[in-house]
Amino acid sequence: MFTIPVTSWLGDVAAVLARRRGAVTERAAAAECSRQTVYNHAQAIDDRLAERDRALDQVRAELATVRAERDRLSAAADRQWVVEPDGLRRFAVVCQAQGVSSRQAEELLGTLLPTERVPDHATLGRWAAAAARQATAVLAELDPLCQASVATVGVDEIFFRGLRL
Amino acid sequence: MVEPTSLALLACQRSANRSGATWQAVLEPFTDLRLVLSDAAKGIAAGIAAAAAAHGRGAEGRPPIAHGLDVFPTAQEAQRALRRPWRAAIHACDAADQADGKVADAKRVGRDARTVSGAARTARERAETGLAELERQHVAWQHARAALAVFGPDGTLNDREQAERAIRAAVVELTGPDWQKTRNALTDPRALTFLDHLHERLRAAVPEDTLRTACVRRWWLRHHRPPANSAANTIDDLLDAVIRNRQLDPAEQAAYNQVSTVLRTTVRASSAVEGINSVLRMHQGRHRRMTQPMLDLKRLYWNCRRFTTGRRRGQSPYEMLGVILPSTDFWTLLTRPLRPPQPVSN
Repeated sequence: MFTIPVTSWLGDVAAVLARRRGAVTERAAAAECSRQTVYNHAQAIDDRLAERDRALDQVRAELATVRAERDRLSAAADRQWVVEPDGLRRFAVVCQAQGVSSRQAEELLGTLLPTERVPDHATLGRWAAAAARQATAVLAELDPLCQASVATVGVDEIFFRGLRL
Repeated sequence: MVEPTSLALLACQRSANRSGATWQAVLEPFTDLRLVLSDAAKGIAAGIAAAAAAHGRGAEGRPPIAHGLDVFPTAQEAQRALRRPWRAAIHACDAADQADGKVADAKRVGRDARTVSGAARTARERAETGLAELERQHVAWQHARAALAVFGPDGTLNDREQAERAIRAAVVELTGPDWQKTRNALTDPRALTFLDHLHERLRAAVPEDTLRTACVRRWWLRHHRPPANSAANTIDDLLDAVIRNRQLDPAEQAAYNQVSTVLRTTVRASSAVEGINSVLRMHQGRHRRMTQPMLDLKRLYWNCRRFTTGRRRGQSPYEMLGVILPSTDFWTLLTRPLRPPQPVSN
């Protein structure tokens, strides 16, 4: 559009918008063009500004939409919780430690997570079994710390599917 | 095996038998044991004796391991024994009420009530005899039960001599095969071991008799007696008020704290173990197999988990036991072990 200098266009626009008698004529003479050309340049600038305003309005509308979407997602995120990488493993182990079977743990997880994210009971059982082996190792370290300081104990035995505890 | 004050589960072992040798293996690592509370299982008694012998306890100035009988099964057995006279008395009362009803019916319709009156009188006599028998046994058991308490009703500290005297008087009334187990438990010297242990600990805590007695009295007044809601009107009440509320000097306060610790941590029953057993029995129904590692997992979890209610609220068994750990969080301990770095994985 701007094949002639911008200052020249702006000069034309100023002459039209000044609405002073003879200003357009003086400008056309100075620029060595017709008065119609000066008016055309002013109209072109006016159109261009109107077009920019429309684009700006469009951008503002898009921004409002994006902000609304951001607020919606932020509110949704506040209502949700993130399962950390070892969260499921911890859930399975605590379930077993509290006496909840792996099948029950699987069902409980199914109420909270999408089906594809719920580990099956065999996986939960394997995690718990691995943690149980680890617990044996940890207790081997902790038990001696307790044994030396204990003066009174209560002992008992119970039958557990044919074995004694 | 449970430490009763902290409820720390110190051992939970799956074993094929419950012999003395098995119990010895469980008890031997506990080098500073002073008192073991249990039921009257022979294996446990043999295990305690063997563990004590292995550590040379009771000789060369080393204190013996005392074995105390749990009060809880004795009380449970007594309740069972009381059920029979209770049922008999209720049945006799019902029969007497029915017989009285027949007399009333006969009188209402104008029939001769002499026959049914005789039967009613007999039934009433039977009911009264049954109730008297029930009361006799109940009162005798209440006396025996009081002998198993730490304090007498007047706040005096119980001791073996006093308790044995009360038990001897009570068991005379607890006759019949239903009371056999209770009689055996009550007359077993181990039933009062907790009293010996208590007095021994109190003497070690505060050697001076007068101060110790005053501290014990103050503790009882503060913990067992309901707060006075009326003005003290006898010399005894005034004295008790002074003992209960007087400002102590630092030495007295230290002695009182020691006595308080001893009395707070005196246990008569292995009810802590019964509590753990009930948890394990609940688990038993849910798991097809209970392996030793799984028991260990449950034990570690139990010891790390903070209590949410009761006087232990906010503390885990390990914390109450005074075990210093880098973390008492179950998952942290499990995934970052103390020494061998073995990550939990499948």
